[in-house]
Amino acid sequence: MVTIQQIEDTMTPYQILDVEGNVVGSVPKLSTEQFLQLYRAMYLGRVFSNKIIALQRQGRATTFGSLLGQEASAVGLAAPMQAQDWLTTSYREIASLIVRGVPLTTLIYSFRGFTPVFPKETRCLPVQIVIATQMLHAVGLGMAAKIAGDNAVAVGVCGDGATSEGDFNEALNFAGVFQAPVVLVVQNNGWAISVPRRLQSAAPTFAARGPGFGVPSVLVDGNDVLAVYDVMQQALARARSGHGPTLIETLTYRLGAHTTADDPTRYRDAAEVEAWKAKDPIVRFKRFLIQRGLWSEEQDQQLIAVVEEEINEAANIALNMPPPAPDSFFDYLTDSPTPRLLEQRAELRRFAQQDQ
Amino acid sequence: MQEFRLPDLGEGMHEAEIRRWLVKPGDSVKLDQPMLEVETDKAVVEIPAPVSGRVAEIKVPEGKVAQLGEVLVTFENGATASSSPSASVSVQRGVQSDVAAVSASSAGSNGSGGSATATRPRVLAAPAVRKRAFELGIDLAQVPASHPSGRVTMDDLEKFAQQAKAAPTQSVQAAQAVPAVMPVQTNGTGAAPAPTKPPEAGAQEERQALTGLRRRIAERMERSWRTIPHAVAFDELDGSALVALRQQLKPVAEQRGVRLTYMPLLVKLLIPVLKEYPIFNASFDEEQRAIIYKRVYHIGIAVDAPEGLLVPVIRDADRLSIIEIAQRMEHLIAGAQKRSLTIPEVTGSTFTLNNIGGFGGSSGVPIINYPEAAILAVGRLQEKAVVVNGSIVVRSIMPLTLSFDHRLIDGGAAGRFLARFKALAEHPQQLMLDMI
Amino acid sequence: MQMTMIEALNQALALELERDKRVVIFGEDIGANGGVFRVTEGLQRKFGVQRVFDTPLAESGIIGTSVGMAVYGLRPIAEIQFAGFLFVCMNQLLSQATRIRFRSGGAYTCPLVVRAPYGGGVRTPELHSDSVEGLFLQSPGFKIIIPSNPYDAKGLLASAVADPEPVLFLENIKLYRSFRQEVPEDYYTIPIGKAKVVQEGRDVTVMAYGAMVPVALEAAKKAQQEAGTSVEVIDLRTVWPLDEETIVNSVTKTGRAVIVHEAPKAGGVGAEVTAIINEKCLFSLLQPVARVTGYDTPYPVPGQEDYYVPNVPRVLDAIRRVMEP
Repeated sequence: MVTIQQIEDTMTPYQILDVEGNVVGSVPKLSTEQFLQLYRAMYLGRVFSNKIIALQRQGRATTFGSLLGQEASAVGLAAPMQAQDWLTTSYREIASLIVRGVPLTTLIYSFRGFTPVFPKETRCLPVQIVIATQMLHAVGLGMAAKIAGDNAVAVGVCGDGATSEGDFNEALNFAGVFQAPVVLVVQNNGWAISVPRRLQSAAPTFAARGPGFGVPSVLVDGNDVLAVYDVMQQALARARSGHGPTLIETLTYRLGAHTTADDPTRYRDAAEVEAWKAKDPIVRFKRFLIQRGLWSEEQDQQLIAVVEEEINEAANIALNMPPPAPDSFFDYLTDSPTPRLLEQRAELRRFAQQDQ
Repeated sequence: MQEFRLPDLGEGMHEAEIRRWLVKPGDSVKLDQPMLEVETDKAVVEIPAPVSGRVAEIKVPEGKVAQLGEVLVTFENGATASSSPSASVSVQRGVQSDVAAVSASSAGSNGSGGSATATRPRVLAAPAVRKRAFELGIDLAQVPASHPSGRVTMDDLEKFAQQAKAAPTQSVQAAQAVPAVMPVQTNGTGAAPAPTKPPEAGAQEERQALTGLRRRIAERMERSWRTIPHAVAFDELDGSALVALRQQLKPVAEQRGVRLTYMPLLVKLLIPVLKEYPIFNASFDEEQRAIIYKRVYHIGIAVDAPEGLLVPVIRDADRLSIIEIAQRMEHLIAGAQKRSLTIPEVTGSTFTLNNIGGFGGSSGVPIINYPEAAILAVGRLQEKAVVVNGSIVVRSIMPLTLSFDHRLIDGGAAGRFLARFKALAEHPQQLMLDMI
Repeated sequence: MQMTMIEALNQALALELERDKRVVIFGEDIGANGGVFRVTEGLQRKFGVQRVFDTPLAESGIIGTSVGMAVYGLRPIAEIQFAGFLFVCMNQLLSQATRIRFRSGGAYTCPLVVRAPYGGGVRTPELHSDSVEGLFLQSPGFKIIIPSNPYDAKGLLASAVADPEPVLFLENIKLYRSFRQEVPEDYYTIPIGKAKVVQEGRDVTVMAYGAMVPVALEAAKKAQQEAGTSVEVIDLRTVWPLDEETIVNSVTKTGRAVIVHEAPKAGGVGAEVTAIINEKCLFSLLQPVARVTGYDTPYPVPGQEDYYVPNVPRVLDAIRRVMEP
């Protein structure tokens, strides 16, 4: 009689700073400036996310998915990337895009409801709405880098919900088969709109999914920016040195709503939210920095002012940028329009002019 | 079973209308016995039986159009043929029998016989309009279009139908341009033949399919008007010299059995002018975009026949004397009246002369006889008050109207042509200078 | 009772769950959350988690498993969160759900209803507003219903559930809450495949569906006011199969036709309507059939969508054009 076994998952999340900010692991060797950059980036991400929500409530921005609570995860995964690396994200990794160099004005412009153009040197693909598709794109980018013999690594980021999509699983499989230089990051924030983590998968962790595809994986405390940074750095080095893909699951929490069109009080406990607020990634890191003598409350106040100023200035610019021509989207389709498309474009212009 | 198919009767014909069957199913026919009459390009051609035998079935009835090669009639088994049907040559009433030879002699004429059957440009109209036109039996090409694109609308069609119903015999007045007509002895109005069916009691309209000569005229007028950008130049000539000349020559001609009208004189006067201004004796090859200058002078004379306008042709008018021209004209006019003219007699003209003087107005604007370059209409010789050397005198004035193809001829040339013709007509004795 | 389309649909689903124990409803966020548009509000609470349940985030998974459920004998009503995400499960839809009957020689059927919101003018992110019905015309097997009002929505959803074959039920987001209408509280059906002449007229036929029906009616009113044009407005309601009889009767009468839809022009429902008019009543036409549609580009960003979705001026312009003599 054969024993049908369930492999118990014994993964514990990798952590360097505990919730209080005390060092419980090996702190990566970063300069003071690098530490502070991490902090500023998380802070900027949070304030920026709140700003977009405010604009949306004012009727000046479209639907937006809050980053609140996930700053360490987003910043930590992007910070160790190199200039030649590629990043594909969903719609909740805005802080990662900022770290990679996408201008604030570009992002705010896009939330006005227009098509943004990310600078090509950032090597960030446009924000992906269709869940999990970006994971296959990341694997493809990695496969191409390998074929071309380049030193680039691709990073694909998705949420816990995305792991249920076929594309996610196919991405893992391809990554494994082709030993693609890719890091696949699952930001497990506990919720896929209203569907909780436990209904999304029967697997004990998402990190546990990797070995099933032959992809080494790691579980990390997503609210510990140093842990995320450290893990990411190692995964990138692995990929860059020809050792193939890594699956990283960051444990974090979506403190805000799914999007500005969602009301999470309908489907989750206030108590749960409070519990996770106590694990705030920014608070924890600030404590660490102060303990290390790298930061002070006074500097913190100054930073708040600086960040707000920076964001408001960017908002001012972006909100006053002229809107694109009504028919500009025809340009996004093709460089060589058919006569039929030209006719349609002319028709649109005719009616747009009538409006004015 | 033996079939007889419509043969090629010459001049690039594609189809012919069955004018009259001279036999019916069950009849026994002898080889070469006259079997049917067909009409192609204004010439009526009689086709003799290709075999001796019994007629089985008439395939194409009278009034219908048959295509080249289409089966016209079948004969029962046992019919004997002396040669294959397609080799039988149509015997034409009257003059020559060798169509090919005539074709050769009229080489240089640009297949004007084919134009009636050439593809017409399609009239633009919505499906509902087409359907209605079909129901009314109206050819959309006849309906004037109000829309700038030339598209015929339902309104246009209904209006036209109303008008056609109101004035069926005044097609000449109702049309946009006055067709060139010459009333000779008869009072033919050139109207379409009367409808074959009496209208139903209380019917709102009559339908009458366009057939025969009328249809052919319509096709040619349409082709000419649509293709050739017409411009018109007007002039008048002092006919005193012509009147005097005719008076002197008329009795002499009658002694020789020829009735002399002004027309032969005008034809003769025309020739030197055509030689001097060869563009008027030319035509335009639309496809090749080239002008074809004719080296022959075949003058078309418009005749008002009972069934409609015919233009018999005086061939090689430059080689005929006035009296020969007059003789030819008599023959042609009589033949036109009787519909007995042959294909060569009604095709191949290089320039057309149109006497509209007897019509009822004093002058008119003719439509060019496609594919020629110009047409000259002479109006009624009338006594008018004119100014000569500062004084008002009475002269016999003949109006001239020259319609010309403005692609080939400009106003200046037209003016000069008319001036030369006028000068000659006013001083006809100048002809003697070049007389051989 | 006065209801919005959401309320009417919610009631229709509740009635289905009551009438037939085989009916199950599932999709992303439809259980506890009642659906992102609240169409399934309260149903899980009332009928339990066995019959009304949330699924993992996987469209192909949703449709694939529903094919299995339907073959087994359940009557699944699957929700795809937005019609643009139907792309993710095209394989299960078009090579499986619509072919199981074909493939099994009639032994198995797939009485599946797929519900999905669509439609523009509501400032949604990418792929939330796309109209996709045209794609399904080329892969026969789905009936496609697109109601324009609460009353029709309820009756047509009932007919969709009763239908033994797969039905795609597309719900226009803009119309979800835009107006209330008197809707009977009990069960009733409206036949699939029957269009509705919403307004009779003599001069021109304007056909539309979904959110374009109010647009067509508004344009018709303006045409009447400015030129005395008598416009016949037809709400197609079912875009596949099309109600050819109603279309042909109307166009034969008027001789002029306009078809309006949000979906792109190429290969859309408008193209099929035009072809039918060509085949069945061409000789009644006084002007070419006009199509007022989205352009042949992907659905644009919120900041530009107003120029893309057909509006009253564009429909009115088309009416004027086809009214030319």
